Amino acid sequence: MHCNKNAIELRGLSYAYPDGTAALDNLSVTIRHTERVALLGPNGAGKSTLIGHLNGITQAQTGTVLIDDEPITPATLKSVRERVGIVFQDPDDMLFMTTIYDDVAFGPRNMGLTADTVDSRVQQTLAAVGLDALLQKPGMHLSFGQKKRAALASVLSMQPAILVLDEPTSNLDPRARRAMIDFLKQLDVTLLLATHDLDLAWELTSRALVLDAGHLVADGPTHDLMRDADLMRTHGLDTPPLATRP
Amino acid sequence: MKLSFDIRARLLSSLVLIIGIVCCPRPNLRAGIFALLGLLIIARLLGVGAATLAKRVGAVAVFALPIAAAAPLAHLSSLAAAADPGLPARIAACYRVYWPLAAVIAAKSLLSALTLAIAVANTPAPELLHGLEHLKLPRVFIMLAAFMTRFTGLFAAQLARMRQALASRAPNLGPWRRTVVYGRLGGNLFVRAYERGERVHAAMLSRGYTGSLPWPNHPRWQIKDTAALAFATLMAAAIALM
Repeated sequence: MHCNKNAIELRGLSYAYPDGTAALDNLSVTIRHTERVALLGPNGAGKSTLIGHLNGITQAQTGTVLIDDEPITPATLKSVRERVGIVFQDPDDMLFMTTIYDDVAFGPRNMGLTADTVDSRVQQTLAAVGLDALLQKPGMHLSFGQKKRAALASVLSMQPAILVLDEPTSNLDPRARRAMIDFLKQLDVTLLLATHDLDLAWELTSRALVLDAGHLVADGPTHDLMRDADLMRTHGLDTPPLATRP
Repeated sequence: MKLSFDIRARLLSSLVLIIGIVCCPRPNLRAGIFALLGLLIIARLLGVGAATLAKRVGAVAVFALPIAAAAPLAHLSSLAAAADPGLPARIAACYRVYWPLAAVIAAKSLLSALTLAIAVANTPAPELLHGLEHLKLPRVFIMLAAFMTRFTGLFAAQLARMRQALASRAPNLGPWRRTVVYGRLGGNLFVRAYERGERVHAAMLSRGYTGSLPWPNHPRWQIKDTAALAFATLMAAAIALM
């Protein structure tokens, strides 16, 4: 269905904060459907600002953001938000309803789906992330790992074609991190991962974009970029242990 | 048996009852007891817990009781015309003559708070906001209420975190010093809660939020809701005319 369209296209995207600091500078990138792309860069590189542009949370000051070859405009905003799911870094920001069920149902209900469809999507999604036993619990009573999964479920229940994740494994213990990686591996969506977890990017993505100070400084196969120790070091990154193995 | 009613019926009934309570023209112990007993029976039928009610009415009492207690003092100047010896004597005279005013304000405000607490107890915030929306309240009011609901929780969570951080670094603060530190943290707390509010709002927008909280059960007005409203109207009339 999507094979002839670009999932995400940025054309000359620039953004500056109100104090004048440039967060993104003339960024142009194209991501095809079903691609799995890592967004790498040091703190303050502009990763989160870029993510905010992908479903219109942040509006482009200069340049254009296209989703499925359609620019994001007030007229396309609703449909874009149904197609591009963003999972933010802090799950507490995403769990604002009184129960996990209502949090996961929030998106589908906003899409105007019938109660039965919403219920079936919530049940399916929570079962997929292993939280089906906790659906009536308030989000604040979950462990951090469970919150992360609940936040992911709250977006997956909308069945977006493009999934954007901001630091999906941050603050997770090794077991929860492994469970998250295994879960993400089997998702059949276009994936954009903003992360400092380079092993995660190595394992899950085939392409990487390196951002530094709002500039796109590298775009290429994940493994090739990560083996380039100079590139990684220059831009505040490190070579993951997996990349140094023969 | 636990009764349940459409949120609109609950809100309208409570409004009618509050009008009845407020319109009770003079201090009337019988009317007050009748209203209190009636409300407690309704609370029981709706399955509202006593602790929930006490907590919510208590929150109103903190503001209402001082106002009620100070109300007789509004007549201080009218008593000044009489030849009273001094201020303490005039204040005492004020309370001797006008204590019913304080009692009426306290009773009416607490009964009104109790009425509203019963109406909205066991009601999730989204359902309540949805009910207000269906009652055609101005959208800006609904939005404000929605944001206040969200912001209160965030504020409390942020406060809990800051208290933890404070306790871990300064466990032996005395009450006065603690008050001073909290005062200084106030602005910081507000900024942090505001920033979190912004992030939550972004997360809501990205999941299709357009200003009204989605609620699955579209309210359906039934005969029992009409009966509840009629009962509330009769009870309000009885309180006002007793």
